[in-house]
Amino acid sequence: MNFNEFVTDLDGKRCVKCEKDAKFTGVDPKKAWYCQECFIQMVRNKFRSALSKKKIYKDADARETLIVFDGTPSGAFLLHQIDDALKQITYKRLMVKPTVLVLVSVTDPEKIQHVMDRVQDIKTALLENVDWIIAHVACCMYTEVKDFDNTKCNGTEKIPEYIEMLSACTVPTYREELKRIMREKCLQKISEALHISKCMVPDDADILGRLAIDQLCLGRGGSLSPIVTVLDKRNNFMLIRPLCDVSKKEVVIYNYLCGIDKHCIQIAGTNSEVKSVQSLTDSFIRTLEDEKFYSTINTVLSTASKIHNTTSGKDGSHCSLCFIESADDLCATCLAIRKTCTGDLINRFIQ
Amino acid sequence: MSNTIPVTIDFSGGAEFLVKAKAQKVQIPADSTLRDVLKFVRDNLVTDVNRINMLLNDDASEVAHGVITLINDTDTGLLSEYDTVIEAGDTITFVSTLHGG
Repeated sequence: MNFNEFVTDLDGKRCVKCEKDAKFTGVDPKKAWYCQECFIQMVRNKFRSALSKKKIYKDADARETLIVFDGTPSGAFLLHQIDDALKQITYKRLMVKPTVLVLVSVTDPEKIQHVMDRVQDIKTALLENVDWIIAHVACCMYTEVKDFDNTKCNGTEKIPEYIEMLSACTVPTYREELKRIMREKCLQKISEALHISKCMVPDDADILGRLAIDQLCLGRGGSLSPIVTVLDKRNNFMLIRPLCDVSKKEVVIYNYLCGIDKHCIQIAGTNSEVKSVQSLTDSFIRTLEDEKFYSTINTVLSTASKIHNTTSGKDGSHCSLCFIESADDLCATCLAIRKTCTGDLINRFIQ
Repeated sequence: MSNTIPVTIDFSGGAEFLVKAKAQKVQIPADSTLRDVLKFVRDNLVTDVNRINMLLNDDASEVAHGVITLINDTDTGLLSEYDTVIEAGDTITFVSTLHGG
């Protein structure tokens, strides 16, 4: 079959935006179909509307933003969106002053070097004229504000401490949760050091939907909204999740069609998986999707965005580890995490 | 009449690290369906057998969860899914959402 003469067996399905033959679907194949051009536009619009609805960049003085790149397809998508938005010369130009933060999570020196080599290639193709900083997630272990060097991977000297702290957590579910909290601590520390209060992360709908269920299981149901929606404001730090409505499927098809899938950083690993609430959640969602319940993630996120804590932490007090609203120094979940940790490395995060 | 047809099989989104090359021109039996192509991929193209579960299920009757299949840049969910008959010159693309790293 010739590519240009390809006739689809779609039972007359046409793009929902124009009259061309449909080629791609959104999350639920039964709900909406798009031609290639409209699919790309639809995904791009989801990203732009997540930012514009919250009016995040209405203040002309605070446009500096850390753009987190973690090597994932969603990370490459985020870089491409920022790169594309900055090149616009029309009113659609995104008023943001980006600094790219490459967040490294592998701990093997050879793999870290591989990441640094790949970053050099990616820099020449995307956001070449902005500052790039490479930092290991172990930067969370710094006790003082530190200067960051943009010629090396910052924080590698803290990797042993970071590994020791995670290993000290004896329950796999809490260890996974501690990893997530430490990633946020790391972003907050780097943000403070660079005096950039906004931080854009590549967390997509699939990640956030799973996170919402994980947090329900961990007892943080009352504070779901700031954890999984676009905006998470914390004192002088703001986490922005512009991909919260974009699914992984949409991201990878967009990357494939726009030729940016080559900007991901793949690292060969093992398939070993420890049983935890997080792995069970993932398995639960996969089963539902295999049974063609495609809208589960959307429903979970839509419901989660409406859940706010009305009782605890009304005076503005927060858990010193995970920063959810809490009347006590530690929320019940973080208290349980601390109890399962041997050693005292975790105590440096607790005021 | 030849009983094989030429097709291109393309791998993307990390799936290319599990096979010989990113894009490969191969001959497959005429009247093959997408399901037959999966078995062809398992038997002829996969090199990283330890991680084949990131591309195909156990008996190669379906792709692994998180792998999207396109035929001529059209989602097979809009075609006849695994029963879609492959024609000469078609490009079958496997796009993985499973990131290794």
